[in-house]
Amino acid sequence: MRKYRNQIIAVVLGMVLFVSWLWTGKREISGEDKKIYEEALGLQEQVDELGFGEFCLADYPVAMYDGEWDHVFYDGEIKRRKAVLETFAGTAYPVEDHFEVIVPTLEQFDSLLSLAGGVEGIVSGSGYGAKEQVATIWHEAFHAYQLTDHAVLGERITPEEMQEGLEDRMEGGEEILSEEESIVKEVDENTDVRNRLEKEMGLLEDTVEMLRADTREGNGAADLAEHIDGIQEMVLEYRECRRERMAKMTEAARDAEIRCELTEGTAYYVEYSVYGMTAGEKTCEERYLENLGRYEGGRGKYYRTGLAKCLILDALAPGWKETFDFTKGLDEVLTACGRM
Amino acid sequence: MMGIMRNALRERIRRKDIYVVIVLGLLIALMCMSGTVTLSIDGVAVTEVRMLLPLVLNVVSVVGGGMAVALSLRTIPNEYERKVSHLVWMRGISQWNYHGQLALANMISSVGALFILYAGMMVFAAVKGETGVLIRSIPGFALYAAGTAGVSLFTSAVSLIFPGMAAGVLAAAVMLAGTMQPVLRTLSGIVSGMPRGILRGILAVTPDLYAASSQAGEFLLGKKVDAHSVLGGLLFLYAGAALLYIVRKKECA
Repeated sequence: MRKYRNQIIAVVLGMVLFVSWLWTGKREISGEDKKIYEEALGLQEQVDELGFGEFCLADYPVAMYDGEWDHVFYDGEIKRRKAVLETFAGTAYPVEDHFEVIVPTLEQFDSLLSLAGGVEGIVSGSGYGAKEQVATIWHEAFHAYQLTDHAVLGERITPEEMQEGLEDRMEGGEEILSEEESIVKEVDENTDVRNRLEKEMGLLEDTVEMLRADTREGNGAADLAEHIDGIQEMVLEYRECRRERMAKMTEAARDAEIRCELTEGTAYYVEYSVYGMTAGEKTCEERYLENLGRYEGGRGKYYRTGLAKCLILDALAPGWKETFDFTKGLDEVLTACGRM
Repeated sequence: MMGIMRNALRERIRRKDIYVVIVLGLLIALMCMSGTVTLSIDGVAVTEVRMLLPLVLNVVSVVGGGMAVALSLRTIPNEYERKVSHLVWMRGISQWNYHGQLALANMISSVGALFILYAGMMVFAAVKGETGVLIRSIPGFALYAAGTAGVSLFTSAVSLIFPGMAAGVLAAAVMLAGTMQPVLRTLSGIVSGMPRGILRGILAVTPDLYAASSQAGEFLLGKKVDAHSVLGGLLFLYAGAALLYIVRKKECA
């Protein structure tokens, strides 16, 4: 026994180390992620002031995916479960009979965006932090709200139907082009349509800039009244450009664009508003409005055109959300408000 | 008692490779800390010690790991090639004692080289008036060096099993996978199918050296240290020592 004393001590030490390592390694959600969710919930009253009816974050489970598990925040509890969507995505996703918000944990999101930023991103981090994560949670919760409480463009989809659609797509059984594919094919790859859309985005950006300038100068309503003709003129020019462009697209591509702008644009508007509540107006404007007219391939550009239209509606028809129910595209809403 | 280790260390100092590696590492650390750095986060230049320190610690940790592999790879095989081992067996010194002392010399030189880079960072912190960071620097180094010490022991152990090139590739691969765990974890969440399985497998069998060394950054900045990550670094160190103990060479005369 004495002969093996050192070996026994070494083995016991190793076992203690291993057990301690296992014991401290319980995969719980980090305190930072818990704080982020609490902070997001705490903004409910301010979000209520945006005016989207019964939209309430606490109504939807929020799952944070850590690369292995989902940590689901709901009804005052945090439950861990096997990940339902084993990939890093911010989305509203069907789970059983309801829609849930799914986002990566802050650590994973930051890491993901750092990777996208190349070597500099990997070394310095992405700059995506708690405030951005809070805004993302609200963005995705707004999608859950759209899907749960509304018939988007007159079409209501249940969680079961969406799940079936996703499974069909994964099995390659669906031959219809996706929203993204329609947009790429008919907008991004068609030089004429693309150029026209770039011009429209410039007009929307200029309109929002004019509205912001009025707000900055301090006289708000008075300045707006003074410039209203100019703003109306820009909106009308935009409308004509859009009408001509839409005539060159198929119905499927038009529908894809209108739907994307409606769902993502309004969610991006909520994200923008929430980010402004936590990060302040200046930082928020730098992040969201300074590239409002920037064209990009795929669906991303419609986040910005949708946001621009929501901001224009806020200025020209402040009560637009009272009757807004996602059954019409944002341009139709502008027209219905008598502003186009 | 520790004559073999002392001799190995003396030889290490006589050899020029350690100086080359240190100069190279110092160059990288200085580049990161100089005013020519163009890193920025959200358009804000990263120059403050508190922002820069974790980044430089990560870079130096990778350099330190590379140095540990380079410094530890050939020591034991060289002893066998020169037949020095025969003299050791004749004196009745056990293999574990012999290999252990040589591996300890490797570990001391690797950690010593890492300390030179670390000291450079502390000078930078002193210049910037970060007294809190300086006060915590010594225990901070203990946290920081565990991963590098583990890499050195692991390299010493695999150099007993595999030929030079294979041992070097394996040790470097483990070191890189360990220091790049967050990147691999994120990649494993993006890809699917077999690539995901492979990445998950790599993550399961390699130590999280990134988490272990980044705890030093947390500690230096007065933040909470994650015990699991520190224990992970120590466990890797232990595993290296255990492997070294288990692996034996044939004692041929």
